[in-house]
Amino acid sequence: MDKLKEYLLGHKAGLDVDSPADGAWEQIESKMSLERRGSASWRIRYAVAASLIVLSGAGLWLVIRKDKAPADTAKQGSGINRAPAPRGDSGKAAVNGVASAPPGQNRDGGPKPAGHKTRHEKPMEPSDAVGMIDKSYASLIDFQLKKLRATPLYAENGSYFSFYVEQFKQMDQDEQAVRNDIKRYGLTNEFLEQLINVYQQKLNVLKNLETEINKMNNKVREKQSPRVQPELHYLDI
Amino acid sequence: MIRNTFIRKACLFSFVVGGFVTAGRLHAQGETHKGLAIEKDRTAGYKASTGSEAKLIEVTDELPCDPGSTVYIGDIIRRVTVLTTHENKVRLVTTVAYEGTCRYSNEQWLDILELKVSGRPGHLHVKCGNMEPGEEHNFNFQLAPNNLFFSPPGPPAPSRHRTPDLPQRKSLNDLTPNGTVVFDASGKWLYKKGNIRRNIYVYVPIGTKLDIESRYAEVIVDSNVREVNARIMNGNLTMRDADKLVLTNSYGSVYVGNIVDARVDLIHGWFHAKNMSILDINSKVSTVELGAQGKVKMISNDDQYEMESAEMISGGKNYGSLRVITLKNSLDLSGVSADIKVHNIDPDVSLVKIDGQYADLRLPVDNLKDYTVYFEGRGSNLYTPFDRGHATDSSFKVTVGTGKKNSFWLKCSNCTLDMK
Repeated sequence: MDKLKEYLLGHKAGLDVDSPADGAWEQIESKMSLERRGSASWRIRYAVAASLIVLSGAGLWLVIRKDKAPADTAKQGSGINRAPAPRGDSGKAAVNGVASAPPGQNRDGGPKPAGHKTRHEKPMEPSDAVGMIDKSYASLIDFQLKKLRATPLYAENGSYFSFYVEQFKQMDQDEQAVRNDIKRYGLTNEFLEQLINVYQQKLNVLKNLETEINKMNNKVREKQSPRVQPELHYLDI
Repeated sequence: MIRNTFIRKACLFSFVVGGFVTAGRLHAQGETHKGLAIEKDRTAGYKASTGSEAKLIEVTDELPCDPGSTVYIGDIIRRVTVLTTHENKVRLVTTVAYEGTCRYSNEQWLDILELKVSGRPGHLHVKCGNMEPGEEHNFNFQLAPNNLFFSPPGPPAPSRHRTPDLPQRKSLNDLTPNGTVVFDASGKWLYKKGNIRRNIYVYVPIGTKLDIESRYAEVIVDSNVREVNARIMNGNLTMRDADKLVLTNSYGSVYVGNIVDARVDLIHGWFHAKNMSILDINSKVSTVELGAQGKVKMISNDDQYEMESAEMISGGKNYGSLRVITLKNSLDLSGVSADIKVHNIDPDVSLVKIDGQYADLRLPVDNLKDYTVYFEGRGSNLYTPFDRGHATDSSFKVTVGTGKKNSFWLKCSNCTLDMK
């Protein structure tokens, strides 16, 4: 047996009951808590840095917006308008989200600005409203006229309904009279309503004419023999 | 520990400062938007930008007037109420709304509002709007360019009456909303306010004859009057009872009370009347609703008539329809394609005479016992409660009872006759 073996065998009991020295765990624990505290402080630092970045970013964004907003406000409020953009720019402006100005002039009689931010929907111009009324009623009247022109008259020729044709022509003049009044006095609700009324009356006249034609045709056709081919007439209106 | 506390405090401080800055910015931005909204309203021109309230004052004008006089009222767009008074004067009363300090006298306001009572004894003029007495409106207007709204405003039309100055912030392209105009301190049109209603009252002596000319306006005669001569174009007339009414109405609505003697011309109008003793009416493409009528003489083209009762009806009727609830004496009408329906034929009716074609006729003879029917017309459908005997395809004559009390003379080709 060598000396090392002898030593170990001699100190066997001492080796098995060896315990850590006093204060060892406290020293280890203290070291561990120091490490933990160090990592927590870094997290706080990161959070602070991130919040500062966010705040500074938000502040910068608001500053930029503020710089833009008063410019728009001043532009609209002071009545100072930009010089009208050349026609070629209108498409570019539209692409950039800037509405192109409609034809015509603004309230002050000056030219309309080339464009402004479309932050809110622009109210409809009265002339547009009249144009829309004209367009919609005109299409209705055209439709009714086409229908009447295509309706055959089985018993009488077109002169039987000459009253309606004359009345319809007269109503064109009445409509023009309302337009003349608008031109003279300005556009008010009363005039607009009257313009609609004239259109409505035109439709009434055409509807009444259709009713009368149908009434006449029905009365004649129910008495006619199916073998007899009636002479057809058409309305010139 | 000290270092950690410092970092925490710094972080909290930066958040607080950042929050204040952000809130401040957002608040400022909100103010900016508010400012934009105000500017938008100001641009629209219809809303008070200052928020100050409009004040109302009464404006009057008057002239002495004898009870038998004629009072002309010219009105355009305004709403005018006419009332009778025991005072021997014509008095115009209205209110005006303004903001700021009023520096105008009664006369100046009248001038601004284009209101005036003028004339000579026996014939007074009340001006309500830009239409003075005697101004005649030509219905045969010349055609103007179609692009009305984009054409540059030309020189004023040759007229002896002044065209009103365009109000402030108003151009031909502006649509003015409903409401009453509010003026500023310098008498300029500021905006229109919907919750203020301006009525123009015209007081006239009892027994006055009214001569009314109205366009795009509403006229209310809220007292019984002796005589009314009215020309209503594109407007409304509402009136109480009158001894005499002479009315021309195109594209308008007219309500009248009881009238002794009425002469009415209607074109594309609506006419509603209570009881009338005599009615002479000429109408085109109109609707007529009448109460109990005495003698009615009509020339009608494409109108819809309804009467509660009528003593006598005569004239011409083309197209459209006539519906009478009770016929009391006689009916004599000629024309084409006019549907005539009488619901009750009184036993005292002496004559029913109709000459037409392509019409639907309904003439029930339930109440009658002694009547004669002469009918002539090809291609008609006949529905009768009596046996037509030796009727041909185109005519028949039938006598029921003695046949002497009521006579029906009917000539109608391609019609439907229903006497059941």
